[in-house]
Amino acid sequence: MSSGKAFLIDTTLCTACRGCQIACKQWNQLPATKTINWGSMQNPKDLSYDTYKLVRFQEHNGPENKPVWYFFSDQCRHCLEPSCKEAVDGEVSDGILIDHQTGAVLFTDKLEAMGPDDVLNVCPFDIPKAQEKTGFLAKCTMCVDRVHNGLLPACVKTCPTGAMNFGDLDKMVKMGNGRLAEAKTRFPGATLTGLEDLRVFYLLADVPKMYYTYAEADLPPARMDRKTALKIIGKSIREFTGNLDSFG
Amino acid sequence: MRHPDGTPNPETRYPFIMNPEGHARIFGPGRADGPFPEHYEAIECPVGGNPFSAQLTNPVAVTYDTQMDIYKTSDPRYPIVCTTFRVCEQWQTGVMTRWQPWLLETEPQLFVEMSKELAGMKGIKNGEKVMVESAHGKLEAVAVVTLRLSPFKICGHIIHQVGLPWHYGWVHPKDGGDSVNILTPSSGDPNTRIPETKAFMVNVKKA
Repeated sequence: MSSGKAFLIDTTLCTACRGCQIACKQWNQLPATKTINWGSMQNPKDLSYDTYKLVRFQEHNGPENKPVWYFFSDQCRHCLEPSCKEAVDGEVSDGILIDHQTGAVLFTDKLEAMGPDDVLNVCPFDIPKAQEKTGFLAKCTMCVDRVHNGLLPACVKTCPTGAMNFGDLDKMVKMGNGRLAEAKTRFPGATLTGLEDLRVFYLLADVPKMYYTYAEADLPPARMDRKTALKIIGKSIREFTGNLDSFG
Repeated sequence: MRHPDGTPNPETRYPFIMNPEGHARIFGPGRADGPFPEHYEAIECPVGGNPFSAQLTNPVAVTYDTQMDIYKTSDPRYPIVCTTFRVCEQWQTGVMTRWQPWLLETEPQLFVEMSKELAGMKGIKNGEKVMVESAHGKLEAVAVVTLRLSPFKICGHIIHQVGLPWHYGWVHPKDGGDSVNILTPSSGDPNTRIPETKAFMVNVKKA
């Protein structure tokens, strides 16, 4: 099992106070975007260059026709094998780095040398967003600056209910499985996502799609253009043949 | 008394902090409308009679008698029950929190929550601007059509309810909407004159 850090986001404890969303803006000194009420409490409507963290709201008719209101605190999943990094490597060196201490996936200034589309099109969670004018990309940094100094990420520090949790990956896996067993007594359909390949685990009371389209990885090809798909396939073939060579 | 996780909490106390024992009392001497609790309808309400007694509204509730103080009960022009509430992103009238850009970003405008049934009946779509009107005034708000509200069946009639937060009004932001105090009746409870802003009658239509 990979080391480093991970988040456990227990949506069954989330009250959608949006403390995480605002603490993120505060620590990263991101400006507020102009919003209107669009018939939902979810605002801003989506992640952006200026919004790394967003609580998404979904209403459904639940059991016995009683409404359920699902809250999904969306952010970068810091994939163990990030497809954004794969798309960038070879185009720009060190455009996207993985912090060896935490496993955080980090965008660097060097990424500005290339257009945003290659990255935007491969993320299975629709996380990175480009600045409209410049095309520069931004997303959640796992607050590596805080974590390297022994602090919790801003969103986790501010959470008043215990929905946002952060720590060593193995500890979060353990905590997640414990919480899942507990949650299943109240929500028989509860699931825990991301254990195998991500650094953000969501404990959900219902199937992921009931929370948000990209709550779980949507297979990249659905959103990927042909060029990017071919490049990734090409790269894995090169790696594969490279591995064969090393056996040779 | 326990912590949320079930462990004992010696620090806490029972919620009725004005009573030495911390509990609610059924017998409450010294109140203008005591000593026993009684159900009355709101000063503005959707029913003609109190199903529990012959007295419809609180006989010692504070009302005023200027031209503006009209109370509309069971009036076909104002058939919808209205309530007011807060959102956690704004505080009170919002006069401080609406100037905080990050808070305003999350709750930027006055809205009115209503059931799918009421919206369907009025031809109102989610996110659309609508007009909310009471006997006291009217204002525009964004319709939030939600499953969290559903029609009541009261004394054999289907009664709809809408709800608005009261954090907006005056100069900032420009498109934030008006104060819900424009809609609420001036009436007070008999002991403290807390105004009855949580239940009154309105109508809603497309703006």
